[in-house]
Amino acid sequence: MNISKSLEKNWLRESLFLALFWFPPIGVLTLYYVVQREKSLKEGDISQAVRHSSNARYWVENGIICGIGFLTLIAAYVFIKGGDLIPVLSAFY
Amino acid sequence: MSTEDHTNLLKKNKLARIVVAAICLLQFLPYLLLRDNAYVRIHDTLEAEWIWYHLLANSGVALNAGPSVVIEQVMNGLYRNAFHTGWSVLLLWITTLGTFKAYVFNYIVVHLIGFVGMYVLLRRHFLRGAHQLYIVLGVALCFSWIPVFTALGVSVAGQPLLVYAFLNIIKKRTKWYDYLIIISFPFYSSIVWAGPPMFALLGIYLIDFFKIKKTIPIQYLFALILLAVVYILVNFQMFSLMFFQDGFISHRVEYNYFYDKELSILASVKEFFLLFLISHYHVGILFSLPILVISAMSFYYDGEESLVKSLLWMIVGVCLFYGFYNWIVYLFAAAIPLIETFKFERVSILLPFLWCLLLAVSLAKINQQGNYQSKIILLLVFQFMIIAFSNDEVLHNVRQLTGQPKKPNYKAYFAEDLFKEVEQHIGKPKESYRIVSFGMNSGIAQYNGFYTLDGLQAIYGLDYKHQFRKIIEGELDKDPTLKNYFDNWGNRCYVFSSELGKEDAAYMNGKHSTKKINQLSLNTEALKNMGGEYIFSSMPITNHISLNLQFEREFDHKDSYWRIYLYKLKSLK
Repeated sequence: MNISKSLEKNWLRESLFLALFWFPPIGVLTLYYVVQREKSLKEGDISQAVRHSSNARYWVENGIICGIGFLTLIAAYVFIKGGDLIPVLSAFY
Repeated sequence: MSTEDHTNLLKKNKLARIVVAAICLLQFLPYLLLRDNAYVRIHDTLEAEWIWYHLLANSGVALNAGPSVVIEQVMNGLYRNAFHTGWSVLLLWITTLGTFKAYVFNYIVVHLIGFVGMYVLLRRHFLRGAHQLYIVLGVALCFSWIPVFTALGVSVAGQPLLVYAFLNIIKKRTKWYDYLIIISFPFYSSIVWAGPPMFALLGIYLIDFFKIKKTIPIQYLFALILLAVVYILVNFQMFSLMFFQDGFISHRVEYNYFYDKELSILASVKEFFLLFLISHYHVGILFSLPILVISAMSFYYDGEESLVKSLLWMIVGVCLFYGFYNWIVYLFAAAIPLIETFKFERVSILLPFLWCLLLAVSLAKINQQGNYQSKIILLLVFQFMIIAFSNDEVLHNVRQLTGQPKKPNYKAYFAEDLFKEVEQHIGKPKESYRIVSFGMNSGIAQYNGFYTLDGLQAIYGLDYKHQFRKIIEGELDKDPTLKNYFDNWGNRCYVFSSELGKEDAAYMNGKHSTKKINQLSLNTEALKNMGGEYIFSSMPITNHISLNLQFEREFDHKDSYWRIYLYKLKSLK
């Protein structure tokens, strides 16, 4: 594994985006890994830091996909409910 | 990549093509299963665009652009030139297949052109690698399922194919079919919807090309001019109406652009976001938030590459133009009246194409970074599902198939058997009397061959509007919203009632409704002066005696969405 590449991003920005705007449950989890990564780095435990960093990356990617999946469910509900929820489109749904 | 890997990839790609083609065809299945019991979009389609083509096809004067030619069936003889061009492919479908079958056939052709167009565009000009095929197929599938207005032909769905032809020309890979695509496009699209936006898009590309290469691509320029010339020739009757129709003044001169719009920054910002997030219903609903997030993800890998950003900026630009177009009208319409009557904000028609292109290039960027294939497929599946759920025609047809309809199907909406009973009861040739509808769209009576004084038209005479206004003046005075709606817009030249308002209840009042009209103020004298003899009402008018109306009979039919209450102007009995 290329250690320097694994640690070049701290994933904080992506985690905050997930936690605040996109999919909070996984956003909180990624924030946890981001904090753990920083802690490990401070303690000089590089292998642990790499592990937390790759976990953060994994959950950021999947968090975005989960968010889109969740949005799909909401969109399906909104369109099936139709005009009751979107008055501007009531002529169609 | 080893030979074995390459063979496996080709096998996978072949399978992907078959699966995607099958899913693409799935959207047509309800029409084949339900036939005329299928739902067909009513808003601006069955109530307007499709009926206009139906009337034209049955008028016998579709190809006659003479200034004095009229279609008697509508509004005591509406100029033929106020209708669409007779050189439209849509008209060809209706003439050869009949109104319903033509709709289904056109629906299939338009969506397939969307699929094929997006596929060849991406494959030839954007995502050429064999490992990118699944993105191309996924995006083409998404694009083909967008609920575009098929009554506007390939105005939306044909954009990728047209851009494909122009890119072939500018990259000097021209084939004969590129010119065929360019020449065909005006025959199968709406000049008012697709014309200016496509010229804007292709023109911007030309300017960009000139900036970079410092040379003008002559063939491309020639192709643009060719497109413009064919558009003008195909739509000659529209220009004839604008410039050569002596004495004709369109009702549009009384348009007030702000009749349903608020002039404020907040309202413009709201319009911007609404368009940005769900596009426009006349164009094709497209919930864009997932694409936005996917494109944001691709920014990481974009580096100096600017295509994703350019597309995103273009989308933002289109939405800003649309959102703030009311300010352009407010500031410049006095000097250039065309910007108020022509509505250049229709540039929003480019959005589904631009969003799908953005989706494709964003996913391709992500794909370059490593083994993300399964995640990208998942994203495409989600995006496809969102588009499939937003397809109102598919959704309503699934409801029809599962026995839970929410809107009338084609057969119930036009209720031919019911109207035959009405015709037999009246017992006179249809051309010998005039009718108006009340509580239902005028297009239904028109479809059934009746001669109507009312109508939903994009263009008709201003003097006619003023005449018709006298009939409904009392109702307009009761309701300022209705008055504003008719006086400042007026495309719906209907018998309105303040008790029904201007929304669905005013023209979609089916027999499930228990509504009665108690205080209708109708100037029946004015109605009589225009030749009106009968009112087809979808609900009882309890004060009909005071209006000098004779209640003739109530008509109902098991297959009909409507129940008709037939009233006759009393003094004519």
